[in-house]
Amino acid sequence: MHETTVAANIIDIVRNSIPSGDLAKIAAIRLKVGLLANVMKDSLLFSFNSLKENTPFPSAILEINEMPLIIKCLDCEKENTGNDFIFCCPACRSTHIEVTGGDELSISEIIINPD
Amino acid sequence: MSTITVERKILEKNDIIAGQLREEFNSKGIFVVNPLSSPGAGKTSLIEKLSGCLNKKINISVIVGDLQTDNDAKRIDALGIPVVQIITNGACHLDANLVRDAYKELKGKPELLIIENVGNLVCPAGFDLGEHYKIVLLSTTEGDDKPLKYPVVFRNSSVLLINKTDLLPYVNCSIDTMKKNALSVNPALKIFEISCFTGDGINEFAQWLKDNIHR
Repeated sequence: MHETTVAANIIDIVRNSIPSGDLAKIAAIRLKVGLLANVMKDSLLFSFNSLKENTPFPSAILEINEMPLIIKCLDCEKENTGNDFIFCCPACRSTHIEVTGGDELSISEIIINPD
Repeated sequence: MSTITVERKILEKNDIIAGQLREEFNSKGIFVVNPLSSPGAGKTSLIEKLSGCLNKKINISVIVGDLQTDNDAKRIDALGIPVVQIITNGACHLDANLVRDAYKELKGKPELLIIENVGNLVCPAGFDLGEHYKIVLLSTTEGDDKPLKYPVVFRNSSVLLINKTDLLPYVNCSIDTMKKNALSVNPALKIFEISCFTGDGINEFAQWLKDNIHR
């Protein structure tokens, strides 16, 4: 996945989520990045750390919460959480599953320093 | 320290445009597919072959993306199909914004719009272009383990076209293994075995397209 595009989008969203007077106080930006998002954590950190130099928040840290793949079996209704690309129920071996977690690529929270 | 809850998708800008495109396509009765593959797996050849089966019966238009050249657009234009070439100058995938701009220039009143993505099995998988279905092409020369190596594109696609079946006698590829690997990642994948060189299997896929156009 295009980590530079993702980093640039993060910066845009942050700029229009926080009042401009508070941007310099941003301490951290928390992300949820699921296994299925196809984003490499180190590459994203590298891209973000390069781009943030030209923003009002050059000291902001990106905190990346890597979210596992969660599948729910539509036959036996068991849920399974893991970090491999397995789309088959480990309990009953059914492939009749739905993905209920692991496709996140979002900004969850922004942490602001006090004045 | 204060914590501001944001909960916004990082690709939301793309998704909003893609949603608008999908509404536009639905309102105009246009069925839209987005073929994805590695470079050289046969996306443009597929369009050439499909035009032979479908073009007299179904109005087709094409948007095609490449880093450089309009070679693909020239091939499609030679078939009499309205086409717009997107030159990305380095972007390795199409996004909804690029497709929206190209769609504004597209001529014709298509029933079927084919948005041929940039050759790449990674990045295009994650970008919604407003299509109804992503279709992944994998050729027999690429190896039967590719669905396991690139699970996201196979997961996000609805159809797998296994191309270059005419080359099976010359390559170390098992169709059965390829299908088993693909279905292990996405059990709902509809699989067609085709050869854009000989034309084998193209009619069956063309029928699938026709069935969906008329839905």
